[in-house]
Amino acid sequence: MRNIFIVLPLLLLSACTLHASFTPENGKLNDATVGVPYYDKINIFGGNVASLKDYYGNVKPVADITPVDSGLYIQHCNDNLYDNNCLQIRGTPTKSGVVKVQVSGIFNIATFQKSSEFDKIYTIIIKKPDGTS
Amino acid sequence: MPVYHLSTRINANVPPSYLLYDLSIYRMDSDRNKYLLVNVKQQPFQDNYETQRHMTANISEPLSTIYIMEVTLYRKTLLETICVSLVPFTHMYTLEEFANGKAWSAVKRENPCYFESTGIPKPVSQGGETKVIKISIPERPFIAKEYAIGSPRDPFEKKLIEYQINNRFNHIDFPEQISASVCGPAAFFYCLQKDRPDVYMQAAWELYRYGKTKIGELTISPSERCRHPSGLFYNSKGYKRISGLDWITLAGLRDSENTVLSFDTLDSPLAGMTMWQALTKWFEKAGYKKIFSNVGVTQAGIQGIRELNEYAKQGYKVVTLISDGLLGGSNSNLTVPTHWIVWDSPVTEDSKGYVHLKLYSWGKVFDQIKRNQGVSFFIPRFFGGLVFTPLK
Repeated sequence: MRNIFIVLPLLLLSACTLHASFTPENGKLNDATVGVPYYDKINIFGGNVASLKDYYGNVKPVADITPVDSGLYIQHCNDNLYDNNCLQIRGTPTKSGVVKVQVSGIFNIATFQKSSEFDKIYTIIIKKPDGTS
Repeated sequence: MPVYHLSTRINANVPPSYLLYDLSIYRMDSDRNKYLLVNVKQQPFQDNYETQRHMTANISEPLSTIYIMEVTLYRKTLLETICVSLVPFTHMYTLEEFANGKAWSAVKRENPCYFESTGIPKPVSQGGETKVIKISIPERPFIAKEYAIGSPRDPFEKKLIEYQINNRFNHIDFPEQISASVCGPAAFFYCLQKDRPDVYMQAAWELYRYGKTKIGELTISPSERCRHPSGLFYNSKGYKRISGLDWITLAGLRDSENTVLSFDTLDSPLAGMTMWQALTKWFEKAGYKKIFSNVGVTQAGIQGIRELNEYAKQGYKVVTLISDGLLGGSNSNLTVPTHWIVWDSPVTEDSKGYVHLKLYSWGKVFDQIKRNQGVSFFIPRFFGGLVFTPLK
């Protein structure tokens, strides 16, 4: 039985580095309109996304949104503060323009696995109420 | 119920009659309530630098129970008695060691110490004299190769480690392996932190200060390579891949048990694997009692879940082996054992047939089972577990 645990990891090692994939894939989120409540969702696949902690242990969100005064904000899905694999963008845009959502982080690993980083930028175009950009 | 006579010993270079001590010997429960066995102030030493043998009340605890001692030393002079311990010295031993006069270390600095340097320099009127006193400070045991002492991101900086240990003591956070393949040690230290936060804190400090510790009969003594790890402790944006404290404890335990592969870098997936035999040994040596096991390389089935559920309902420690694809976030389709978790509830099934389990993994405690999955998803990814009595 012990041999299984020696041979198994060797077989698995070639496929053990965790790689991220996302939905949506193309880096573009739904367009938004000033004054209209907005919702979209980003899913991160490939592994369990770790909480980001700085040197002092302060937790930082897995996603950043810029500019910060667009009226849009990021939340964990299902009100689960521990689940970093699913993020939702909500809010009511206050001005037109382009908003960027940067999703970056690292995976928690299990035995035989090797972690990797991911970094992806999404854009949201906020249109004026008349439909122009 | 028996009574015990407890003592410890110090190292000093002045006659023991010049010194006095405060001694408290205590343990804490999971809620950090303190239970004192001995609490005496300004007592004289015996001639061999041993404390007096202080009698306990009638107690029923097993001899393997771990206690923390705190010692404060005083130097007597003709005119006054001066406290010479900036902070109390702490160390942990089992009740048996305290009762058998074995609560001391052969390594001098692992005991309470008091040393004086004496000499009378010539006064300035006679030409003066400079006396040189050499005080040695051993090198810090843990130094990361990429982050030398003084580096702004030194993961083993003392104030940072102190902050992290205090957070663990107060259950603000839990062991978090992140990028290190140390789920077995994480399961062990999570249970220890929950049951005996005082022992967790003391073990972490002893590893930090001396590079080794002993929890009951479990000696953790990581190799030189583990204590000087290579590789990056932060990702490209400066966020932790593992904390200094978790390296000291989790990698320290894993490496200490490895005879072939050193755990000397975060990317050591093979050196980090833990078999159930090793995990059982760690728990038992630390004082846990194993009362059941259905763990193995084959799936434990629905019967295995039912068996463990009964123990989980009664508050036992249930540590199980799974395929990490069972947990949210992971999209692994493999159904091989890859991960140790600790149950914080029994497994339940809701009205839709979806399975739920509050559990500890990756530093967090919540229902981490992949959403909207039933028993048929759970079973192939579940390989049974170990059950221990909580550590008192």
